[in-house]
Amino acid sequence: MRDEGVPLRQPTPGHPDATRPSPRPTTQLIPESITYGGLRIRWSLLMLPSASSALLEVEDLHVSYGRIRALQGVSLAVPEGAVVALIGANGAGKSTLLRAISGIVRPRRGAVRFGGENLVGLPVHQIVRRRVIHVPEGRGMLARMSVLENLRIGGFARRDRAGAGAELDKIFALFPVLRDRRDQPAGSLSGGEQQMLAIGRAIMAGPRLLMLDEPSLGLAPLIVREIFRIIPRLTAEGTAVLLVEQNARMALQCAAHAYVLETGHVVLSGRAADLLAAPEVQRAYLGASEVVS
Amino acid sequence: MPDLAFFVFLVADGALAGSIYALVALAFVVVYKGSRMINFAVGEWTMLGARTAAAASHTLGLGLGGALGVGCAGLVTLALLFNRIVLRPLLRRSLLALIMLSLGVGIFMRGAAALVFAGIPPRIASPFPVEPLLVAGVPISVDKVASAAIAGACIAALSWFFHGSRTGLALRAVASDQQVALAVGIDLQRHFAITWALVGVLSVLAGTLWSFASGGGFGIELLGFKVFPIVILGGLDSLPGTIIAAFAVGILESVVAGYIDPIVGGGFSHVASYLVLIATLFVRPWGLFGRPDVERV
Repeated sequence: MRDEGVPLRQPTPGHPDATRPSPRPTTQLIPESITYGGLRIRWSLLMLPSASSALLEVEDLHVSYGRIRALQGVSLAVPEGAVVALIGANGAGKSTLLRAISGIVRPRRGAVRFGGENLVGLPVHQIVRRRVIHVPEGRGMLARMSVLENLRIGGFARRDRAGAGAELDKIFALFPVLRDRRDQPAGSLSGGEQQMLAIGRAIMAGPRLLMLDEPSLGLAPLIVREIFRIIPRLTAEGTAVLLVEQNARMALQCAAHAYVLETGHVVLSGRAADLLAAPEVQRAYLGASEVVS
Repeated sequence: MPDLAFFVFLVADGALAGSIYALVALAFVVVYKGSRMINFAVGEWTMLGARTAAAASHTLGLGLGGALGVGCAGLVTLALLFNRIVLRPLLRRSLLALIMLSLGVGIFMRGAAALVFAGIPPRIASPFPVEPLLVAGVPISVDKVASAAIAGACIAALSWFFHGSRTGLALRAVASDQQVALAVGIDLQRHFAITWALVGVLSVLAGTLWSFASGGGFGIELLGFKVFPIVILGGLDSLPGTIIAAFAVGILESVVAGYIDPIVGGGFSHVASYLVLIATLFVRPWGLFGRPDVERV
């Protein structure tokens, strides 16, 4: 069994942290480069998804663009029906990871297992057919096509047309504004409406895993909240969500687990609530200038 | 013939030619929309379509329907092979490479057609009556009316295909944004192949209809030159715009041929559409029906 909490870089023997007892064991994180003896294993058993139950498992993924190494051995897991957040700065490799999972870029090394099957090397449309749906950053509207056509194209990979019809009703119930604007060209929608359409289009495919890349980008806080409010509804129906966000607070509040990516490595992972409280996350990603101990 | 009747005759005649231009232009536009390839050989494809159907008619003794069927089968096969063997390895190359390729393929097709179809009449005998129809005293050739009617039916079928069918929707998505098309699970290669199959069918239909309607005018391959002003006026990627522009250019040519050619001594009708094209490029570089890319972000 693979342990999700095992740090990718092994701790240096004799490192002072390796023997020092943890000062606050109840909110302990599982950082990559520092371990706390037996605690690490205990935490991973308690709350990190085990390999056998995960819907998506990414293992030691390496992706390069020419000589630039965008991902350098990333491993993560998304359990069935869970929300997992992926946070990190610009250029950390978050989008690259999603692109590698959905087959747009081919990893140099590593595996992407979905329901036990390795997706690496499959063409994109085959991965979509397995209901791994990627909503890319920038929303990707078919600008001149109508809202309804954009939604219908989302169900392209489905075999069951009745299912697509039911999905359409569900999307219009989630985002009534899309029903009002169904015959308008998608390019004429506001940014928030386009994001709703992008997510609606992904729902049309009946995703088992939905990957959202920066859904809050450039949107007003009120609209961001409206978009985030549908995530629990999706997971209630069994969809797992892998959420990439620069808005770390928002992402950590709605996720169960989270990973922090820095320059192509996972540097932190654990329960989202714990990461939210972690000083290093607060400093780097939540804009706290000073951490109260 | 009174002046007004002469004008009406010119307009009707031009519109009939325009319906066939529209078919050829659509063959160009579906390729452009699908892969941004400028197919300079569209006239040669049309010529090849007409000659393949004619060969099926003359050597196999088939009727019009059978000849068109064999022609379509042949051209679709050729177009699919062209897409698979020639185009696919070049897909990530520059657009310039594709343009040069299409020019070369055009020249090759002319040479190959002359060789392969040597001694076979280049056209199917028209199945329509020779006597012109008299509409309110204006004589109109039955060939042209029938050809235009068939072309119109094809255009209607194509419009339905693009707007009413699942595959048509997918083709429009590919044309609109390939990344998005990929993300919703559309197999791009499969849809490029469908596009080229369409080109094969349109080439046979347009080429055969043109051979009925033109009655031995200029060579069919020159039909390609008629298409460029049309597709640019139409905005390059707008199907309705292309159809309207095709009729406009057909009528313009006909009217110019009727009124100006006798004065200047002929030939001006072939230039007229290019003059309009140049004027359009100054005023609306995105064509009469295309849209400049302005959208909310």
